[in-house]
Amino acid sequence: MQAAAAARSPEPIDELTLRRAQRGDQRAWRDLIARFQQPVFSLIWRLLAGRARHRVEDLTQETFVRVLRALPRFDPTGPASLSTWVLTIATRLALNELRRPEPTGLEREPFAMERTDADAERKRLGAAIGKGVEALPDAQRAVLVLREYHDLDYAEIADVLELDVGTVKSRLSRARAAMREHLTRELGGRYE
Amino acid sequence: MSSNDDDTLDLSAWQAPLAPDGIADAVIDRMGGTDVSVTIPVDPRESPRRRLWVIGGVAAAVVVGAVGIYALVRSAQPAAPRSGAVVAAKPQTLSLDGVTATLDDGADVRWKRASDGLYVEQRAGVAMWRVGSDDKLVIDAGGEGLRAPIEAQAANLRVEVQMNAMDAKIIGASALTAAAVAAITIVVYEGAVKVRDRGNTVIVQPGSTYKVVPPADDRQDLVAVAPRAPRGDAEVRIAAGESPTLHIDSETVTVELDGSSQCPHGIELQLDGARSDKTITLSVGQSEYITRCTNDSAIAARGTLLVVKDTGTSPELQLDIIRWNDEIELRGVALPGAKASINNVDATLDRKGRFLVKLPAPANDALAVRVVHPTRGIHYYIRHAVKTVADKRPSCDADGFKDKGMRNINMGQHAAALSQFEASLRCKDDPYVRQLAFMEACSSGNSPKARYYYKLLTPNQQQKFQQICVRQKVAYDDQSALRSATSPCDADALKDKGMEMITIGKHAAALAQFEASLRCKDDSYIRQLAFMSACSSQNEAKAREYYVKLTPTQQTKFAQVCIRNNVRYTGPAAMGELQLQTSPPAMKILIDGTDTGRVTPATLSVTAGKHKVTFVVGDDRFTYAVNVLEGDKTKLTKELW
Repeated sequence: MQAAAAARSPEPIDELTLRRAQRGDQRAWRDLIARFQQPVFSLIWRLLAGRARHRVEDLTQETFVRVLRALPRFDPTGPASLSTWVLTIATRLALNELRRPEPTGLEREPFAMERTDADAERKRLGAAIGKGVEALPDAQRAVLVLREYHDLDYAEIADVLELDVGTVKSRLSRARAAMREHLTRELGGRYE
Repeated sequence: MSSNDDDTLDLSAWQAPLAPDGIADAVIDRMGGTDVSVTIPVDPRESPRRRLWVIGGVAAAVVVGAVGIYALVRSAQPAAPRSGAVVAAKPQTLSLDGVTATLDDGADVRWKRASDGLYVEQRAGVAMWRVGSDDKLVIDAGGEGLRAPIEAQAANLRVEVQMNAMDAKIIGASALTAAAVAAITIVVYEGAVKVRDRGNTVIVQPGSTYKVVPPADDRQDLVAVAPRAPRGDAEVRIAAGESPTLHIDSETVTVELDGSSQCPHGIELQLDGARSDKTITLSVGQSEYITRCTNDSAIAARGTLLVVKDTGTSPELQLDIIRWNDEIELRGVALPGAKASINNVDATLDRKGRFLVKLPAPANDALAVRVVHPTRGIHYYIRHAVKTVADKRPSCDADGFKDKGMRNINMGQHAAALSQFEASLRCKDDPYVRQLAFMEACSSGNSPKARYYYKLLTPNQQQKFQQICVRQKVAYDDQSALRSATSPCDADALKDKGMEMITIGKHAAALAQFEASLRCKDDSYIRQLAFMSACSSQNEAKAREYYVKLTPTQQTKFAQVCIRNNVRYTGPAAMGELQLQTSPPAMKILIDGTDTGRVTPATLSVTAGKHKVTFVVGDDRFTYAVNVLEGDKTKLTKELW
């Protein structure tokens, strides 16, 4: 889990760029989008786990449109960091998307790794994790993804999902237990 | 963000694909595609237009070629000039051997290469500096009125020298030297950077920002007050004629007079009508003083010194020392409109008056916080290291205190619970315990503490738990105090807050805001918004409630929101059963705040969806959220003491 920690939390954007972005400077907007596009895209991709790719791109765009519209009201000294705030908007959009009935006729994406990976075993593990995450209830998946892949702490997850911290802890615990069971079933003793 | 895990799982093998290119172009197109900013000129080196793929490919090929050519000819390039000066009329880059600077327009920079590094004067403007590990960069930032020497090695930082002449977009060199420096901001991205600020060396860590600002006022100090409590000195300064209140954490305070700045031959103090030494010991109470310069009979200044024992409930400042080791970390909330400084270093307050300051621990183990408020005057808060050092208490058990607090709640001892939660917070900061402290401050009718903890809550917590204070009629912020004194609430402000929640996709929170707005003032448009938010948050009960309150046109137009979200908003309500049991039994049951007339144990038939169940016994109320499924039996069993 810790291996990708550095990639999960984007570097904080500097104050001046943020101020410029809040004033509507397009160059600063580009900087901000460049800084957060990968975490936002990854988050939505994981939360929608296997749904059609074009929705992930649409929602990533929609997230940034909302971020830029709401940015002038963002308080950098407030309780939420910019990064948590952006991920909150992305999460809410993805969860709203999950509530909609899934359109018929669209095939779910298989969990093949898109990046070339020499390590076939790791590729297999990745696919198994993807299947496990997809099988989780939406509420548990959201908590697990925010914690494991985006390094949000319990209080931040509670804020993003509008839950009590206790609920976050219990959902995370249930999600991890389900993942352990799934991976052990899929991979047997190879998953430790 | 942080890691607070006790149970880990390695899921790193499942990685998302890379985000596709062109997201920024698409988003900016959707935002209207026009640059609404005129204050910051766009760097001419970057085109904001959407790039075609073909052009991108050609550009990439050119870049690759250029890099190759650059690598070939680099050794033939002349060395960077050893000294020079530039006032940037447009964004530009300087390459000075091991140091690179990216200057914004208006940046005024002079440099000189010495044997041990590059010495730079940055008199104005913004510059991004990058220095390698084999070079040293020393920047003398600022000019008239404010300077900050900065030393960096293997670092990446931004230095912003802000002038008082704010109107000028690009100021000429002569104007720059004439203008006073308002602030120097140092943002560090990589490496540690040393900043010298009024005699103190501050290490600015990566990811941090440090701001050097002028002293709060430049009045001549005539009287210096240095309380000498038994546990150490704390140096504070008051100007002649000021009448501060000193909040002390000891029995007495020693005040020392130092008038050397205005009276070169010394100063005399008269306290409560009697001539006094320069050093006087005051206990709790009020004293009047006058000062005269030696050999001058005219009164130089007159004022009062009010000494009070600090009980931690002063409305001007709520102060919490989180850590006191080699470094002090303290957090506080001052009244809006106040200015605060700690040991003569200004603190930056947010718009709610909150600040969080880290500073090196003074040798005397004492600190003084000065708060100046336009109507409430000048206050000093003297604190000592002893008994405030959470880290020095090995037996500090945050969870133990929290558990005791919970037991106090169950016994209806709210003030005691608050005290336990505060003890827990002194051991370890925890947003949940802050929330508990706020709730117990409300329940015990402690308005100063409720105000303090309310400001420390997240917006979500504030919105969720302010009702406890409202129910108890306890003021928890200035607006609530005003509301209770004048109008009941601000419907428009609540509506605006709801709209903000919608923007960031928090529909349940938006619904709560719209409902609060409707409680202030009934409005057809807000009812419509409440219905839409109920649909979007899949709150079937609320969607039904608001649907029947819409006009026929609204019903036709906005029913789609519920249909899209698969929420039933009309027709016979789906029902479920709620089985309630408590220990002890016979507690009154409220569903969504309405008394059912039943006591526990009981089984009630309710509409399917989310409900709030409240058990009431005496003055104590215990509320839980439940989600009742259609045709299902939902059990809620609670041991309440």
